Amino acid sequence: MLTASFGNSVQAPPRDLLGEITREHRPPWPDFSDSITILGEGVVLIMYALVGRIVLRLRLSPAPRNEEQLVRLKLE
Amino acid sequence: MAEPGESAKSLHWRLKATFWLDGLLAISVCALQTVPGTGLIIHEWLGLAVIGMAFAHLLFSWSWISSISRRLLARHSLRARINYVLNLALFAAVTAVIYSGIQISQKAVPVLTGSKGAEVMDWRWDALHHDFANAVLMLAGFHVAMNWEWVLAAGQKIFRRVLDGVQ
Repeated sequence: MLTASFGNSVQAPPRDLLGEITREHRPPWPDFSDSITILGEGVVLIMYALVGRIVLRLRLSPAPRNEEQLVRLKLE
Repeated sequence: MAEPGESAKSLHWRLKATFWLDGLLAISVCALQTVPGTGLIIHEWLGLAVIGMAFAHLLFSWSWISSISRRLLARHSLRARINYVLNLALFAAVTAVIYSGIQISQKAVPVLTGSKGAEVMDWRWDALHHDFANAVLMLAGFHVAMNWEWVLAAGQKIFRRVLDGVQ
């Protein structure tokens, strides 16, 4: 009985109703006023690429020699 | 027997094919992110076309994939290891987005299989499809970042030839 009352009190995870309504009314053919959003997605891709370039350059380039020497001196 | 000129020609053809295929793949990934922009019919057929494009992209890069996979446990640079993990994550995300896309397809897959599209949308697959698509865009951006030097070098080589041909 306790288990049943606990089970009944557990709520289902909230549904993304707004997202569902939006997705339910997807147009079958392109809406040219919305085609500009493809360019927006291109910009997002370029942004990720730029972030990737910055992070990878910082992480993957070997440290400059002078810096490496300084670190070594400190350790010793 | 292949002449040296022929070999260079085939290498240039391969470079050109890879460059334009990758460009088309990047544009397709962007276009697939927005269903209202393309409409559901183009979205689904383009999504299926991307399977072929991704397969061709993997074939063109097969020598790199096989060589690094064979020596997976050997010592590699940090860059090569990060690149491998990124590519693996991108492959997994693309596979997941294609699989979930097939599950919720309303136009293309029913036409191909001759079945009737599901009357009730499975929102769980739809939500997963949306999340994996976002992951694909992010990982594709990082993939471009990782191979930026190749993109620049290939672009310079191709467009230099085009410009030389014009002059």
